[in-house]
Amino acid sequence: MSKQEHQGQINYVQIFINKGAILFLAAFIVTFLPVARENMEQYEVYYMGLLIFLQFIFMIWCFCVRTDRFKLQSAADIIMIVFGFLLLFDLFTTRLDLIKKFLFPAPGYIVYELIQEFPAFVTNLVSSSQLLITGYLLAVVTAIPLGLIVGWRRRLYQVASPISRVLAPIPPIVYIPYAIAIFPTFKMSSIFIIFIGAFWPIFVNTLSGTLNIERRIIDSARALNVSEATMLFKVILPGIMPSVMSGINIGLLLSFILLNSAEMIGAVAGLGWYIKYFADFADYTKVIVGIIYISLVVIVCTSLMGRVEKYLLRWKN
Amino acid sequence: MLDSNSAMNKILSKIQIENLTFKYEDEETDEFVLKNLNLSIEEGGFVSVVGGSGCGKSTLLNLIAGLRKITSGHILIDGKEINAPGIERGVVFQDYSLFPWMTAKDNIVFALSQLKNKTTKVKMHEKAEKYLDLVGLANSKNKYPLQLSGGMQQRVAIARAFAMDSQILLMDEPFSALDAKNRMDLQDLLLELWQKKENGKVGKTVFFVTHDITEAILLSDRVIIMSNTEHSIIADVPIPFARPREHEKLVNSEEFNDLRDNLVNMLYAEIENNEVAL
Repeated sequence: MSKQEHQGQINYVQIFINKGAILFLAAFIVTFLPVARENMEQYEVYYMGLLIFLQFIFMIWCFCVRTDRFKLQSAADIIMIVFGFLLLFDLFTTRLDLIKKFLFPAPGYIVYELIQEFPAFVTNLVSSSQLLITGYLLAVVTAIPLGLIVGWRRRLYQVASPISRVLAPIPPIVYIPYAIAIFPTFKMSSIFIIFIGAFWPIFVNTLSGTLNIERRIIDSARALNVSEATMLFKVILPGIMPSVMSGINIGLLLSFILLNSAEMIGAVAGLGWYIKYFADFADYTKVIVGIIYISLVVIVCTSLMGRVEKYLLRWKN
Repeated sequence: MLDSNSAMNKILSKIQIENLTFKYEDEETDEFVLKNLNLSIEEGGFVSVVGGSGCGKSTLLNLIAGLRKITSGHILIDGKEINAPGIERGVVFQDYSLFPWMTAKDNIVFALSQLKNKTTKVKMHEKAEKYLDLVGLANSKNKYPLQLSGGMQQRVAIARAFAMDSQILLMDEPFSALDAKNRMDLQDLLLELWQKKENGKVGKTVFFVTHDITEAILLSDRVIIMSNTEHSIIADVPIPFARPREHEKLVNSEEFNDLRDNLVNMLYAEIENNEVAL
């Protein structure tokens, strides 16, 4: 009991005074140095706000993992890297002005633009997610049943397997110019490309899962005299869910890549378009803002998918 | 052509196997797994099959279950030829009888929902809980198979088989992966459930595959020995011990040990024959 309390106390100290927190203080103190880059004083407050905001988030993080010494340690390491990077970035831009201004904007200015551009981000996110969700869901709802049936029916497999071996390895990005040309709208062509990109990994993983499912699971189900539909969707599908989920995850990442590529080539809205548009004007602050927003979207989506996966595979140890 | 006399016989026995032959279709060799096998099992009987590995005892069980296609011959259940799995035959394997993504209770409910005369969801859940309680797993009903020990998994599989109330129970080495203590407990549990004949009904017919002769004698009315060389049955030994049987008392009795030595000798003679033949 007392030992545990003792441990707890040490952890609380670690939360507030760790390597990360020390670097936070260092970065914060650096902001009091004079500003070398022109017209940047007004953005100082945004950078300081960012530092405090991050430190706040990290403290919550450390508090959540306080019982696990190793997790706490790695949290502190990561925090150290983040603040270390910000400190150096701030030094080389705002304080010393050693690198090119239009390629490497000051962190405070990036934060300012991040806030300014939030409405634009939301508009573009809506436009992008329409394409992404439609294309991706279309791939999920077609690739899974097709993979199951092709894996289950020997004759279908004999036909579909060589076809998929030829088509699946084609990098979907090469379809973009042609798809834009043949489909009447950009929306349709990018949905098609996202669909193709997500379809193959999900299909191939579902198929190989079905082919490799434990024979005795099938026998157990057959001994219960299950119908064909029950066999496919209530026995094989949950049985091969680990394999399906890895296809679904690869498909999601590919969808993001293809969405942004397609938008950079032919769109008039969307996250990829946003980056391309401002890169054409050499407004690299906004390009950086776009990159930050896109990575946030990807992080949110993949961690949500991680939750879904954890729930679906809760029966595994 | 079947004459009326043999047709009568078929109605009397629950499982009737005639001239059963099986070999794998996709293999080029002329190796038979089973050749001209005949066997009849009376209703309510407990029959065990023993034999060396590769003698075809598990194949025989799979054929009765309808999981493999017969090469030639017939398997009749209640006088009717079978060629597919049926809900009147419950199967318990050594492993993977349960679906790992369903909880213990859901495994039973799923099986019950495959029955033709299925009832309401509430009743199926009640029944599943009742049978889990019978096998001593009331507290583990919401656990997944991977969270249960091997013995507990087989308890669930047995609970499922009895909850489904199949007339025939096909068990393929269900206890061979368990430690000695668990195996004894489950043998007793199986006998207890099997003997519980509800309202004067004839009990379940059990076809039990094992490589453990002690287990075979302890549980069965008849022990059948299969041969690797003949691909068929070489001995059919009735087990005379009265029921209900007391595990420890019986296993330590002289009659039991004599019978076991006898059967062991038969099996060894058969294995030696096999080696000479090779």
